[in-house]
Amino acid sequence: MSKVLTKNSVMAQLVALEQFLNRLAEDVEHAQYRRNQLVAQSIDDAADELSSGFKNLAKEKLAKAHLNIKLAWLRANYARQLFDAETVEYELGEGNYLELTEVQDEFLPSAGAHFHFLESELKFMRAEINSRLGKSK
Amino acid sequence: MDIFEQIKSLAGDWLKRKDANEKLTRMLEMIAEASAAVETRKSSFTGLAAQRLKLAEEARSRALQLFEENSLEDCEKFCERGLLHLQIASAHMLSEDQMKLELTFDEGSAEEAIERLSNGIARLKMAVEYSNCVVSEHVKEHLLEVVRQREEALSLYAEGGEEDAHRIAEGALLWLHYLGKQLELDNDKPIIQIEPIVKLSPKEMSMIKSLIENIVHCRSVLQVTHTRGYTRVERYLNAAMQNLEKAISAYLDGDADKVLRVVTTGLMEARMADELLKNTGPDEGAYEVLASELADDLTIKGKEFFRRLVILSRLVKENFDEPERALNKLDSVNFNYKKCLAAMRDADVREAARYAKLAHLDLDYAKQLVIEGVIEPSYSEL
Repeated sequence: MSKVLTKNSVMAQLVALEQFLNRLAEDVEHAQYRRNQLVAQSIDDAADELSSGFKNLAKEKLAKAHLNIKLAWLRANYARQLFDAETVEYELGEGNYLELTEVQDEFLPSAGAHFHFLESELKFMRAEINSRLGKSK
Repeated sequence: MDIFEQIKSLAGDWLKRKDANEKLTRMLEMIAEASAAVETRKSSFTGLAAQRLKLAEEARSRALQLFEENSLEDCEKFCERGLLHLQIASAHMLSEDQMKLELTFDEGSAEEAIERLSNGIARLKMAVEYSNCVVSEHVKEHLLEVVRQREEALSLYAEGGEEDAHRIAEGALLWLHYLGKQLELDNDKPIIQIEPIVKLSPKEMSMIKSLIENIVHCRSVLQVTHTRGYTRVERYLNAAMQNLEKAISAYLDGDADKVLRVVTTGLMEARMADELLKNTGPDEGAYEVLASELADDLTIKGKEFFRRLVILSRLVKENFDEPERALNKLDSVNFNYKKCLAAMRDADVREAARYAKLAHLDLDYAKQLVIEGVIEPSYSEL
């Protein structure tokens, strides 16, 4: 069942969301290894919704402000989860990110990642072949 | 009393009890006191509080200007706005850790469906990044479409189109369910399971889900038993897949009759594929057990290798000055890698080793040219 909206409850949610978004933006900024377009876009969109939410709160349009909160949360939480997934990929050291948008990557980093992948595959295959050669001797 | 506690405790009617002059004076005092506190006190969110105090000061200045112009009603509005900014600043300063957002979506609501879809996309990405599994072009294409559908569902929801948003989110979740199964099949290991939701049209949703199960089942059998493919079965499975796509589109359009028709057709096609598989044994014993396992693995690896090689060649062609030499070397990588795979399938390990080394040397040569900028690369011992 939906709770009754009050100015205080809406403000508390907006403040919590602003903190959530602020922390996410800081984390993204510190992670200089990668800029994901979808994460950046989702953060921007969430910030816009949040700003509209504060404006609606000021006008005491609480239902509208609550809709802004829900939309901002859906966008911000999505961005947080995608960012965390990218961090896992970075920590594991593969650098082979799953893209969720059609992006034109910068040439050298992108080509470098492809070379790295192909080289790793060839090294792995050669090691496997060599171990088979060893067994067959 | 602490300035932020003081501001927090001010109720909305505090303003109404004071005259404009008194309000403005008190607000100025509060902003000054709060600003000083923000500068000296440690809090996780001083940055956010400082921004709010700046906005409060702007609102107060505007209110003062309106007071001078004798626009008392507007002056009141800007005073209220200033107070709101002050209260938000106080909330930030008073929270030691990030405030918990108490927001839950009603079960079966459009927003819940969108949240589940968002979580599903993020979980799938996390699973892929974590497991470093192969993601085929087929999966990628559909995943991009799911991401686009999520955006569409959000826009519709924002504009008040809750039912349409809900339906799109449900349809997209169904695709995610399929993509999870396909990823598992492509990689031959569990990756992720995403369950669809059945709220708007449970019967149609279950039918589509059943078609997905049938297609994926046949594909798994086909992959294990026929390493070189089986054209007749694949033809039926492709037709079933096309009907799956039509069924999901019809579901998104809310066309239950069409869902029923195309799913029934799709199920018949999947059944035909299944019957053919049941009545045909595995490939003639062309491979020993070990070689067969290897060939399965090679098919998956080979596909991704060639896909990467094609993308890399295209990138080099479009972005690298005088790309001919690098492209020739990448062609050689392609040629030697294919020869290596063929030798492995024929269990000729010595030839496989020779071609794998040649592919590696050519790749390294191209890398020296493109990435390291070496004008005259050399073949180093690898």
